[in-house]
Amino acid sequence: MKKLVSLMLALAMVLGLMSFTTVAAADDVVKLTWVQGNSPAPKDNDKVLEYLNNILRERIGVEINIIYMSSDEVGTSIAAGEVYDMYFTCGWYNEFNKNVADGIYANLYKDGKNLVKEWAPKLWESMPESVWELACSSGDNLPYGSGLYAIPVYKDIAPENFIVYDAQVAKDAGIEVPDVIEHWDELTPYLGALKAAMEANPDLGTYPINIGGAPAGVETSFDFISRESLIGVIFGDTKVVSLFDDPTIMERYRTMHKWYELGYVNPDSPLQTEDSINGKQHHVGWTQAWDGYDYTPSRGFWCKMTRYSGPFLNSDGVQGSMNAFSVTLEDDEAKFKKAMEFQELINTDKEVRDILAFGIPGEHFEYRDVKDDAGNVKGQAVVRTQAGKDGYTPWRFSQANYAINSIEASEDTLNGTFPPPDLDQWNRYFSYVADAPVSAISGFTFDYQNPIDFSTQYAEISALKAEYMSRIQCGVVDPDDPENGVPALRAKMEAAGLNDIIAEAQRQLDAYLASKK
Amino acid sequence: MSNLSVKQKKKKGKGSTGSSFDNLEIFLLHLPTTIWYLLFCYAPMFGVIIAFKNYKPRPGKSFLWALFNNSKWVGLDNFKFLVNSSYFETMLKTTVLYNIVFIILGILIPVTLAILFNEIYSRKLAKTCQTMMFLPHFLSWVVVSYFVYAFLATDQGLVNNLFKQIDPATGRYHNWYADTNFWMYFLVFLNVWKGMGYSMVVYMASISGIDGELYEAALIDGATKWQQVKYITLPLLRPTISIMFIMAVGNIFRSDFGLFYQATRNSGALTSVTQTIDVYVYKALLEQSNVNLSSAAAFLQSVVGCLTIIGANVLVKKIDPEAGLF
Amino acid sequence: MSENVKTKKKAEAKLKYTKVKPGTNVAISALFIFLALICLMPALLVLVVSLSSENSIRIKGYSYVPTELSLEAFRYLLHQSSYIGRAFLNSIGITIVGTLFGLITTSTMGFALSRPNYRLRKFFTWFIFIPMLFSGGLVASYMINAHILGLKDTYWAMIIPICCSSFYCIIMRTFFQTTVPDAIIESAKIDGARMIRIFVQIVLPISLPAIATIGLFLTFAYWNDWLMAKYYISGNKHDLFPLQYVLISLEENISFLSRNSQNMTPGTANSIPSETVRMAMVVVSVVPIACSYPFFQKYFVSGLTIGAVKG
Repeated sequence: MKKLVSLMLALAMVLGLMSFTTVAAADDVVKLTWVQGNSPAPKDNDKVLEYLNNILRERIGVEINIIYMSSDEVGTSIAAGEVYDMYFTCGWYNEFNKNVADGIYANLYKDGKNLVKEWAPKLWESMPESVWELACSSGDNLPYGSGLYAIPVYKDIAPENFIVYDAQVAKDAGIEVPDVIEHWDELTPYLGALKAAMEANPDLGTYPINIGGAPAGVETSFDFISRESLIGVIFGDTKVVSLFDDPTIMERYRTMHKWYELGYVNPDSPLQTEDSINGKQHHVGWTQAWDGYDYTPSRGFWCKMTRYSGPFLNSDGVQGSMNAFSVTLEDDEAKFKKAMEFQELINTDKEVRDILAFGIPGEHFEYRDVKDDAGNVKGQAVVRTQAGKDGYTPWRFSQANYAINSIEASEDTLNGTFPPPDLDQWNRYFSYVADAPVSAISGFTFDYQNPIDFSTQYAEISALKAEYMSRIQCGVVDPDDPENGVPALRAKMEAAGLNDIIAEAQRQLDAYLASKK
Repeated sequence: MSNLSVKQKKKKGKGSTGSSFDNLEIFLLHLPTTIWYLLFCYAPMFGVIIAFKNYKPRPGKSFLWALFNNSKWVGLDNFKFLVNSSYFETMLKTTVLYNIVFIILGILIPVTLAILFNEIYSRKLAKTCQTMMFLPHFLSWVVVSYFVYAFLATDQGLVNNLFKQIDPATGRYHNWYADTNFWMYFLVFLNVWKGMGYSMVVYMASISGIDGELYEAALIDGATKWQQVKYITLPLLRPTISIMFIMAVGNIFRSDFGLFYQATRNSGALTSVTQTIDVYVYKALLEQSNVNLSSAAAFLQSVVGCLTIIGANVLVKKIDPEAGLF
Repeated sequence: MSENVKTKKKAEAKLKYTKVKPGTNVAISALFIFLALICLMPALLVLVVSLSSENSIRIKGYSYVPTELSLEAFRYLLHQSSYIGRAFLNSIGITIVGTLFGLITTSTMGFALSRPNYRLRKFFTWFIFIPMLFSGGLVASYMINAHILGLKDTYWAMIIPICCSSFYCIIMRTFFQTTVPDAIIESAKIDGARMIRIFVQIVLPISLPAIATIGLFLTFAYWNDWLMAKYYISGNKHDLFPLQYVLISLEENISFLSRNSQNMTPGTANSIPSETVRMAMVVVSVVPIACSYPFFQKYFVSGLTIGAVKG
């Protein structure tokens, strides 16, 4: 036993002395690593990187290696002390807030010095300042105080939520569904008509609403501070409350339950997942999209959308997809600058951006002319080749700017089977989003581990949500039911310490708002 | 080891006390395995410290450095999320009670089947059946959950469609995934069904290792089939049964996550019969990947397992001094 | 004449004791057939569903008699991952090498622990017992395996870290204790044989049932493992992937794609035959390994059956 202990001690000492800093390349080309989701890498990743690096070497003297990992692999890698230069990060991948609090990412906005503006002015200008502001994180306990810890991906940053519906049914039944609704209940007549149509024609399906798990975006319009503990503010307000204090949300739960009671919702929805549900029977669906997005091609029937929430500009939306720099780059300014330059290039250069998204031009995708009804060329869109579809389909939303990325089309949308691609959708989007209402708590980050560590409370609340939430969200139980509904859940959450969390969040928020003035 | 068994050993091994040369040879024989254990089990063992720390990584520094220089000791704080949970009682109850049932059935059924297996006239039939009984082992719990759902789905499930199970209270089809009484038994069935073929193998192998002459001698004495089983097969299976029992008892705080979470489709309404410790830990850490808390839970399970194994060992040795693990 | 009757009677008596009664045999056989069917039916359904057309699943649900057969799911699998063939070979290689390694490590340790006279027996029983319950956790193992031992992105990462298990060692030990009498080893020793030779030439051959059992467990464990690949093989080292990992990531990808239809090329959302593909994946991964089962089975099925007892 003694031998074992001494062996372990010796081993421990050896390990303690080791550290795994990456060694900068000796030649003048700077080698950078970038973590992206998801594992495994696209089949042709090496090929595309080789092609891309030829361009990068020439343009900025950089070679990039993109490493594809799943979220828990990145977590393990970071915990074990491995270092990559840049990371894709957000709330649900590579936990952004936790990593910021742990000091994993470099601060780009430190001591009044704006590294992005200084080193990559074009990158800074590619997005409005309000977006940069929303990307910031706050907190007294952050290693460097408040700051900017990642570059947001300029895409659908202001969440807008829609209900997609089968337009043919509405037309047949003579029901007018408005483009914007305030209450879900406004759709009840439409759902009734759909149900009647289904009874007449069982091929359509059985349930107007056929969902797997909670509909995506039931809780949008509530301005979350912590999705884990379901706290936040009612949009525009600064008083921290529980999700269940928002009357809009409660009304949606009640409407869902009403629909369930009417037989409009499939009974086993909480047991299903989105992919176990038959996609073609999605006559009604929830989605986060933007004006101009058309589900008709992917659903295969005539779809229209009605907006029930948004657009809202808040940190939650902007921080939905970002790329951060490793804090170790702060020790190597030359490399840091190159990494920034790389981010600038992929966010501002259309050619590089399209290679990242679609692969090698001519091999993985082709540029094709898009014509309007009169046959005039409106512009170009990208069509993936079979090799592209099979060999290179990385996550696009985690890479860089959408505004400069080519619009993707398919043969069907070019030959007129389906409506032609809307080449202007992003310009339109960014112009109207600029006027969207901005959250009153933008830039605020709740640190749930400092100074009070709420990990234990979060754990309990997470388990409670697993028991109650999906049934409430799917309308299977009455939200006002004292045993299975919100009152029961809320009481248990409070017993687990919800009110302490709210009080601490309010304290941190007040301090943040005071510092901002 | 009790005195008695030591004495017995000595008596048996008369004239063959292992020389130091023998000892060295045996040691060399298992040296590679020993090195494997040191590298892959003992070297990472320092990781258990994380259960008592608030681990903060530091980029560019090794795990070990960050563990000792960058992470605060927090005492037993990490265990609070389990012990203080409102689910604690449910967790203990489900985990331990199911395990007791599983351990009993997990010995009784495979042993019985292994013995019966040898009595079938047709070898071909026996082998074919046994091969088929192994199939469920290959199907992951996710795949199993598809079938279970095909049977139990509320509106399109086979059971509800065949038997028109309608709840008088609601006038709707019976919601099986909210029926805790049913699942209590059904989980046991699923467990037995999936593990039956696999756990039979160990006992079948043990039986085939029994010296045939023993049965011949019994035949000459005119022993009936039942007597052969009772006086030859079972006593010779006892060491295997004991060891399997002891090892199963060590896992009394652990549970098959797939069975309780995936096969039940994570139905919230079934929480009271499916919330085992592992399921709770999974649900609790779904949204925060907290290595401290998960390590604390694993550590607690290990400590309890260690205690129960030692207890089971004492118990087994009371019955048969030769059969213990230590 | 009388002697003839005697032997006949004797034979009858023997039969009476070696065989269960015909009625009992029927009952036991029926029980086994029943159990086999319960186990076979779902597996059969997997096969049928994997061969059904997606449309047939949509209309009829899971059914043993699909309205329409189709190889679409298998075609999709082949088409989606061109490296599936390579992965298949990798899995076979890893499984064979791993099982051999595993058998060496577990049988030697199990043998050592089964010798009552081995002086370090008690120490090493504890030595292998502790890791059965306590482990340093994923991060610590990852650091040791990937950085200290340099196993990252090698086949060894999928073989060595999981080649031994205390559970198997202890089962081995118990087998050796009950089936290898001390007397055999003593007499071999008197003949001057070394321990290693005794182990290889005497102990192993009479312990084939035990070797087959643990070999079977190891084979299945290696074949089904994908966690090692997930953590120790980089996402772009496609040529190292084992089959299970390819299937698992394909499955994740299907659910990801169908969840995020926004990110998809228009028109493809409904073209993934997800339900049948899932079942086809099960078929692809189960059939080869299930075929290896009878090979192991013949070693642990008892030779002590009616015919085996010499008259």
